[in-house]
Amino acid sequence: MIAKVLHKKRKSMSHKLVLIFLYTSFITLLTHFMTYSNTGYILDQLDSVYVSNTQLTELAECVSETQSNMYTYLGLKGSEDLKGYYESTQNLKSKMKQLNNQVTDSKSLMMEYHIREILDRYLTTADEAVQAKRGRNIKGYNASYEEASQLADYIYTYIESLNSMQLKTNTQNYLRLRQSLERIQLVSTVILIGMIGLNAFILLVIARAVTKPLICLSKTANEIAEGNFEMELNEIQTGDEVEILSKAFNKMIISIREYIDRLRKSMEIESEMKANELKMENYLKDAKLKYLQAQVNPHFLFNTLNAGMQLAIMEDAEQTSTFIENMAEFFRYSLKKGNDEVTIEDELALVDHYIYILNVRFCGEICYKKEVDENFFKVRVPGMILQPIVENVFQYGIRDIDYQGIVIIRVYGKSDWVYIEVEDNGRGMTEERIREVLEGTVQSEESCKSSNGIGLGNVMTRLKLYYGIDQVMQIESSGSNQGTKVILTIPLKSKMLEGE
Amino acid sequence: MKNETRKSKKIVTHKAILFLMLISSSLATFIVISIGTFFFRHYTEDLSSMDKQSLKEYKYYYALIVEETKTAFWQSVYESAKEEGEKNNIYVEYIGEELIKQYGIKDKLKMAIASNVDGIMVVPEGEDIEEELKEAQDLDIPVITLLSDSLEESRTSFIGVEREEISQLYCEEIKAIGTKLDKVMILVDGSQQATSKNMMYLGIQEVLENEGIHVEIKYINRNNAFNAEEIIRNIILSPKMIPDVMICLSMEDTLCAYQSVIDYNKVGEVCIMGYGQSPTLLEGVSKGIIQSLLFIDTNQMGKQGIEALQQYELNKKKGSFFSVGVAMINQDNVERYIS
Repeated sequence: MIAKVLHKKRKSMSHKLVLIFLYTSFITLLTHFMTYSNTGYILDQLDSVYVSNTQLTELAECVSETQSNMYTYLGLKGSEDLKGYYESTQNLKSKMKQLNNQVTDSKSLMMEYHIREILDRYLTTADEAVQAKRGRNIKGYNASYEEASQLADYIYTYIESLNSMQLKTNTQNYLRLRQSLERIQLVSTVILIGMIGLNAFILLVIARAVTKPLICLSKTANEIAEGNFEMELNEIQTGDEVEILSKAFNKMIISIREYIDRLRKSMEIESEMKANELKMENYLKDAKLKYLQAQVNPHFLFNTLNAGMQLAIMEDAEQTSTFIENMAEFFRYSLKKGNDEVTIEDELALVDHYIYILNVRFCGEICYKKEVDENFFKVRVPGMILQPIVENVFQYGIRDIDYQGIVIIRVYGKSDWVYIEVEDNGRGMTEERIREVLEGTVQSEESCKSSNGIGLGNVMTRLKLYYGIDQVMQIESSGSNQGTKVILTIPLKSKMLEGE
Repeated sequence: MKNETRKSKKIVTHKAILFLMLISSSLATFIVISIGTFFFRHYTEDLSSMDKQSLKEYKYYYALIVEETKTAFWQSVYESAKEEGEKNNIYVEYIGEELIKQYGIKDKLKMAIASNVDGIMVVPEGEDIEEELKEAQDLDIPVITLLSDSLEESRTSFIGVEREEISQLYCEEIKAIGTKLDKVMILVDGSQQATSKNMMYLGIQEVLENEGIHVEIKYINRNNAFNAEEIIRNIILSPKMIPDVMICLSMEDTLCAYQSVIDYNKVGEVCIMGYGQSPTLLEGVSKGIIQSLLFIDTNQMGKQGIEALQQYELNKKKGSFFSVGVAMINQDNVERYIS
């Protein structure tokens, strides 16, 4: 029934604790009750050991009282004495009934038998003495009194002897009782230790049942703290607060998992959108290029430029001829190798053509220098990486200065790296501007207005994607009119070398 | 949907099992404690009622009354009577044995009569008990006298020995020594000169003196606990007093004489003729230190006492005489008694 009640109601932790408390209390109470009851029983036994001695002493006192009352009555013949005599004889008769009246083989019981029989005789003789006194038979009551006194003496002797015998037996019994008590104490201790062991085991099992779910919960919480949301969930069925806590905990984990899934999906969508945007941009650029290509037919342009060049040769206009040749080379490179993989040598050639054109356009304002380690000429790089930088140098660095603009291109290697530096002595850049350029936050439109469309950001992104590293470009500037140095960092790998 | 397919670890607290464990361990504790308590009480009850366990009730109740309850002779008679009584559902009590105070035969008889015994066996020596015997007679309590037959009217039957036979046995033993004897000493209990056993010495004296052997009677006063030992030691150590033959009429005196002869290296100088049948004395006979021992069949005496009382119970006839067998134990027949 209790089990039903416990099952019916949700058992809380407090119920369990109360149950454990009640259980241990019950065991303690039971043990205490046993000890209390047995101690009481032993005390009763010890009392009863000597109760017979007490009864015999009382019997002897009663005989003595009767004898005394009889003597007083026989001497004084007072009615009070006679009353006292009858009361004591009644008392004696009632006590006499408690004595054994069977012939048995127990010595102590046979003593009782003697006492009873002699007492009976004594009471008869005492009555005879009293009756003789009433009948004024002096000789008769004297003889009866003498006989009664003698019988009383026998009774005393028997009582004393029985007392002594019982005391001896009782002492033996007492000693046996003590011995048995000591033995029982030992057995009780062993039993109690056994019970304590058993109950401790049961309490341990119960305590573990209570704490195990909590330990599991704490382990799960630790795993979550370490970032593992994919662990097994604990399905705790203890029917108490821990179960409630565990369910809430599991709910929380599930919610977190769902939230993470949602976040992942939205990020996926976002990145997809970004990719689409980029594609759109590329398509746009492609469209622009195609538009330009459509506008200028390369064959027509090259043929025209070649015709112009031949005309210039015929007219002995060498400078015009060289200019047209450089222009033709520049356009051809731009159109053919715009996005392909090229060598550093190709890139430098393009820069040469570009600077020549610029110098023609701007009347040789730019002083162009190259400090190149020819060992790295064949290192392959993405196309169109140097020209946009030089274009930037010209556009923002040296175009509007009122002194001789200098552009120095250096190519050198250090350990596994090839460095390409484009240095100018132009207006320089602020730190903020450098950060904006490197972070790619400069509006592309801004750069598009006066360039052919490929800005520094484009170069940097392509280099990053091509080599898979972040540190591809550095921009250094000491301040206003102190010039700018753009350093490209190219990893030197065997596969990057042409012909290998 | 995705979450539902994830693995989950089940932790189930088996409430029913836990509850059963609690209940069963409580029950086990209760049972162990109950069984322990039961056995404990049973055991202590056994202790307290130990002397009441083997109780047997008897139909008849006879009393054996003698002056000296501790002597081996009467102890032996009592044991025999008790054994015989046990067979016939009779409780035989050695009156006064368990009392802390010493009473004479008269008082013991009064106690037995007051206790309404069904029969009395008494050795009527030392005190006048005629009045008590008459009282018993009036109350129809049969009284058997043992060894002494002084009150023929009042007693129911008598069980005793033929004194002439005893005297004759001693005389024959002395004659059997062969050598000329100057002095024969008879040790007599000085405190009970009129007892039946002591009266035997008169017969012995008479027979021996008829044969021309000088007989000296030595009374031993037993007022002092170690008096007998002292007297016997003095007799043995004194060249003037030491007899050729020392006749002891009690087992205690015989033991004392036997021990003194050994202690003082007088073996062969004095010839001991004693009384009793203890293993020590029989060993003395077999070694030749004791010449002979008078043997009264105490077993027969006890049995006959019970038979006589039962006979009276049946036919109410008085005046019977039962004779108890006597014999001399010497080196020739001692082995039979030892076995």
